[in-house]
Amino acid sequence: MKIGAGVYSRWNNAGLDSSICPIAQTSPMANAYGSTAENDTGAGLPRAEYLIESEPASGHTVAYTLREALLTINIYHNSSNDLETALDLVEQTFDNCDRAVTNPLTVSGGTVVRVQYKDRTSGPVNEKVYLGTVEFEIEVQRQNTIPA
Amino acid sequence: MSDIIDITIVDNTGKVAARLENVVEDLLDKAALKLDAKVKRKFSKSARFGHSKPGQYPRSINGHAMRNVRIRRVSGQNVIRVEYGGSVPRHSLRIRMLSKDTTIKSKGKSLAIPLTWEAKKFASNVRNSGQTIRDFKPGGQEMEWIPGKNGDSFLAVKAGILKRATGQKYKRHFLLTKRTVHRKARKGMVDAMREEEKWFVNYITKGVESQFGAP
Repeated sequence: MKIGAGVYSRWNNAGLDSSICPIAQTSPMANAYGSTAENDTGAGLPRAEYLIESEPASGHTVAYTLREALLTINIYHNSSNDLETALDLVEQTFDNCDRAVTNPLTVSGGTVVRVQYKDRTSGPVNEKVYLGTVEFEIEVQRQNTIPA
Repeated sequence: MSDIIDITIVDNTGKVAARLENVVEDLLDKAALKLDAKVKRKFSKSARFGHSKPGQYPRSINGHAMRNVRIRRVSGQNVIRVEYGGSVPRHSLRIRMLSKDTTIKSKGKSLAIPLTWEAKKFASNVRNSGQTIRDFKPGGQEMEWIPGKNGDSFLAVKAGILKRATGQKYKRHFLLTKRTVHRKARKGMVDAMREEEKWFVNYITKGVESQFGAP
């Protein structure tokens, strides 16, 4: 299951690539990490990154496996006001995004059961950079194939 | 003819120095965040499952590594610092252990090193819970002390059915040693940083050149 690919698609479909900043496509997309491209020499801020930390399977039957993951989205900005606006956008985009009318969060090889807002923090890294973090809990159900 | 050209900049108002300071600060901020992303991507890309060997990137703790490593410019200084921090102290401690060669010494009579999967799980879970090694009873059996070689000894339980398979009378769960254990660093952060040194210097030099012109 590629949760990273789902997060990447949702980010772009919701227009966050233009309203905040683009996230570079990673290869392979199963990576648990994605960020604004680090090799470019252009404007440094704002930057965004996502981290996915998967938990051990929380439920397991013959038919399916339930897996929980923690999605963390970090945004670096040079103004605290702009940062808060960006964090609002991220919160609106990802909270309950499995039930979104347009372009819901989908994961190949599984069904997203729940995407729930968990926590939000923000503060200065130094006098020029501000960091904001929004965390979401994702629950994904994978249908197990039963051999013929 | 000399290859050295002396250039004197007259900066009575301090504007050039201030601008240079500003440009370097900006570049260091950008470089630190980009380096942060590069390192995290490397952790993320390494193969999962199985134990990493000395000299390799950490495998099974990629998530912890990514969440606990931060590269930032220090406030008010032109210094970039690698921070190991996070909500779970033992995760960041583990990253530090992977990044540097470590020496582990016993605080008591001897150092108990877990050998089996069950013992490792127990050792990881009992931290700060008030339980001791005496509370570890695999299969409900009390562990016995059995002597080993070179002053080492073991805590083990009678092997039971395993005796037929392994030919050993005891299943050894913990090694008790009075020696100091040296643990070699994994590749992790140290190597990632070494690889990126060239990129980092190039990034700062190019940035200053684009603002002030190449010498």
